[in-house]
Amino acid sequence: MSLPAETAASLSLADRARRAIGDTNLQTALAKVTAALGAEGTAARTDPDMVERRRRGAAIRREVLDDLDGWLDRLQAKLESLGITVHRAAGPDEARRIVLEIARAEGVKLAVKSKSMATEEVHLNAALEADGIEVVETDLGEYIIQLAHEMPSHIIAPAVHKTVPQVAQLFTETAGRPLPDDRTALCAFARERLRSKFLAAEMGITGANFVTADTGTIVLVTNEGNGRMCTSLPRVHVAVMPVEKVLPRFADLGVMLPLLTRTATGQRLSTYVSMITGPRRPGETDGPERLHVVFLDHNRRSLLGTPYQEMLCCIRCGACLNVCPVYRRIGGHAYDAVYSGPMGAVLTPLLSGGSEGRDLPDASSLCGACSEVCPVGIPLADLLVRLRADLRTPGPAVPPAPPWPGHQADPGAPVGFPGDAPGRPSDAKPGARAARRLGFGAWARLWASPAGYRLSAAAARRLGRVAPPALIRHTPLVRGWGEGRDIPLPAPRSFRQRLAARREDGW
Amino acid sequence: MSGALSAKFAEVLAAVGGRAHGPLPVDEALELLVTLARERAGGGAVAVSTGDPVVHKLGVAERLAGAGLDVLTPDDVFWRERLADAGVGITGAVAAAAASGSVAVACGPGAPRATSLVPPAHICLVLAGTMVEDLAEALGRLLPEPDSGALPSNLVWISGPSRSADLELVLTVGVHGPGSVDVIVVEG
Repeated sequence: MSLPAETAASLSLADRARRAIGDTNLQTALAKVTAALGAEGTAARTDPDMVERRRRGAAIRREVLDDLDGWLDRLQAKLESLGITVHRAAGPDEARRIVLEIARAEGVKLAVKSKSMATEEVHLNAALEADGIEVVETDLGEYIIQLAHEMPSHIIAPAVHKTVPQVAQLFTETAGRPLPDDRTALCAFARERLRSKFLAAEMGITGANFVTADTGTIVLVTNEGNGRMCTSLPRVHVAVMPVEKVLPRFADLGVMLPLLTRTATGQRLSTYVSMITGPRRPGETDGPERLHVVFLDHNRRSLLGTPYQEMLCCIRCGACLNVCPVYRRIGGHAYDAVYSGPMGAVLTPLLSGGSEGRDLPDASSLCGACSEVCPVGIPLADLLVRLRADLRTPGPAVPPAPPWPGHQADPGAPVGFPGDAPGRPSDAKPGARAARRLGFGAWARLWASPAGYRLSAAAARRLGRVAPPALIRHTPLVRGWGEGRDIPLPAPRSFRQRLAARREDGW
Repeated sequence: MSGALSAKFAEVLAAVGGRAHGPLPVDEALELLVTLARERAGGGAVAVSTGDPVVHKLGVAERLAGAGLDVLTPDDVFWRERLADAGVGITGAVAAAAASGSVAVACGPGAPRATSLVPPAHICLVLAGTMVEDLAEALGRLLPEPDSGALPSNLVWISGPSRSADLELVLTVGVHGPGSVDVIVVEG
């Protein structure tokens, strides 16, 4: 059974992981989603067209990051020339304030939302609801988890941890009438219920998959049609755009869109790709009368010029989640963050200035599958290792970005990246750090000489012959490391001994 | 060349749950349109984006009305309310991409966004000459110069019927958008 957000926050990562591993429903769901999407991603990677596309996609992303502020300025000018109002939000507080002000000015009572990780990142829904505005998630998976008051468990399939009977239960409660455990009936209910919301809402809120600087086009990728509904029917459209989503050229979409969709789900293109270039024009019957774009920084710009800049290339495809041996066992909720998997383990501590997700980089076997599969070539495994070091080093590892001109820093946003913030459950055992340092130091000294190496290896072989494996596994220092790992026992004879014996036999 | 492209388009669209027809000469295309519209409408109104260039050029609304169908046009005072009960929406497209089975539907005066979105079925008319291999090529043709004056306020690439796999990863069709998509490729 999945954890409500409040419970998850009070448990350590290890405890959440253990719960997830013990949850058979979740394990089945995770196996299914990562196998299905992972297979698609792998197939997509080996396609000759994709090899070239990945190279070009990586180049385009890095071209943007080389001059992000410049591209944002050019984009803003273009958007404004189309009659779009552009706002800049340094952090979550400001983003919430901006959207709330727009909603109040427009007299919004009901807002419909298309799936947007950026809006979850800034906890937008809660702020609007606190002001008496009803907010309805319209992506089917997001609608399900909204009703269940849960966080997404996968970036592409947020409700993958829910079984059909569980969803039937949820929808039955919402509908006030019994609904069967039947996908078609459940989808039909969602379609009917959400349609009435689409038609009544004053405001549509979306993210943006890409926004092109030369034409000012906002691009939304969906399969259900809810994104189109949110941007066609309500009279106001607000798009929250994390700053790294800007692309230089409309033509770049020809490279990036199939790269995103094929890597995420294997689709050549998602069912709907909406390209929005401005609000409703004179003579048109529908479309938003007013269109707002909110540039969201939230510590992203502070990563520029540091090795962590690479993380801003991310196009949110979810491929790294599908191949990660850790994610595949523990699922998104165990990360207790908006972004999970390898990309979440890197992004969460960075965006929060080190105040959240400090233990997430430890949730990795460093197998490197994420780096291999990333369509834009982000060295995720390297970033995880670097974060592990930086999170343990006192002092700011990432200095704060200069505020935008004419802009004040968001007082609520964490500044920079302190290395020694308190509250790390994984290091809670007193003396653990000292013990590790002593142990590794002694081991290093012993193995620095051939004699020391031979002596310790001989002792280990003798011990392996005499002591039962169970005893070895419970030795104090070995015990913690041995939990969840097979401890290989030394062979009775070393390779050198066997080689010497063979040579004697004239081999 | 056009024949090979159309064949590929049809194959890919079928794979994602849509149906392609043609390429057909104008008259046959219109006859097929009447048949399909009647079937899909199921007794309800047929919504037509009369302001769409392809729809306008082919005289779709007149042909459908002449065949006795209940045609709903955007200049109808009750367009928005009646659209919710329409059985099928008919639009044109500015381009088609064979590699992904996609049609690009543009909005404009007399061509609302909702026509291809709200009714449970969508029929799209596309000229064979506007079909290209893939999205990249189509974008290049739509916008030879980066001048967004050429881009409509809303351009949507539609690749088959609306779908979701959010319920235990099994595909369900027709979630918010139309569950039935027919594309008629017209010669010319």
